[in-house]
Amino acid sequence: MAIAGLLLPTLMTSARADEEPAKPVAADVADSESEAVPVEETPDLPAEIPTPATDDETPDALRRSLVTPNVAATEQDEASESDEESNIFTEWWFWAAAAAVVGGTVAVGILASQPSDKPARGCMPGYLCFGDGRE
Amino acid sequence: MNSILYKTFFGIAATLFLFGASGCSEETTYSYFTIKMSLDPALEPEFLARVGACGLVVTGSDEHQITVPCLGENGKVVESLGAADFSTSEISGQLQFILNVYDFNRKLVALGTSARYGIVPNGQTAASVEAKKIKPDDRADTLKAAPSDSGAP
Repeated sequence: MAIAGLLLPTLMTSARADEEPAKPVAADVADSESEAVPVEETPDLPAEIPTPATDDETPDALRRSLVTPNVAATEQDEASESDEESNIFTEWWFWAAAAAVVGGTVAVGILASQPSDKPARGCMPGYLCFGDGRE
Repeated sequence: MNSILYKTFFGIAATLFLFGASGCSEETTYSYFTIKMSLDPALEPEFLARVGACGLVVTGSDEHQITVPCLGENGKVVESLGAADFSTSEISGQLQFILNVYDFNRKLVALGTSARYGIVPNGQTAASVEAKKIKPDDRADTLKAAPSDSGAP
């Protein structure tokens, strides 16, 4: 019951614990570095608390606690994915592309707002030509 | 989630590009006016001998001015001032042409004002203007009406 008391708060932080399938504890503990720490301290616990052999003999809290490392691993994966998302703003090519888009748009807007360079018709001989589209 | 960022980013880029490109499709439309310029045939030779410069002014929906070479190689006023071809990129409104004639002291001595001509996009309009001698009594009024730098060289 002591291990259940240690791991119960971790269990309460995630509502998804019940949805995750149970996996072997040892493998997940090795992959986790954050909230799986209490599980790594298990060897310090009294030896007379064995891993329950059957579900009928295991208290619900303890059984759920054995799933906790799996939940922690899932949360860590989500955190890692979140880091990757935020890392896009630290990539040079992202800002280069953003600058290209903004600069190109401004340039296109300026060009579009100005009169076309299409000249007026040619000047007929003997005529004094002036006005728009003429030098 | 990254794919959402990519889609958003390139979606905005494509929208801006299409929006900007739509502005590039516009081309300038010109309207042309052929203005026949002349001096009043009744002007005396003594008066014409005082003429030093001429100018044509466009007023109305567009404004331009140009110096008209009204003096021949001998320094005398040419019999015909010829014609001018004016182009405007305005697509509506009216234009009026004013022919100013100055003496050697840059004083306005003759003035001609054309009728008002409507702008016809891609169209060709024939106009005419004839400068008549300004009477001393009329000079004050016409000077107020004419632009200060109206085609004077």
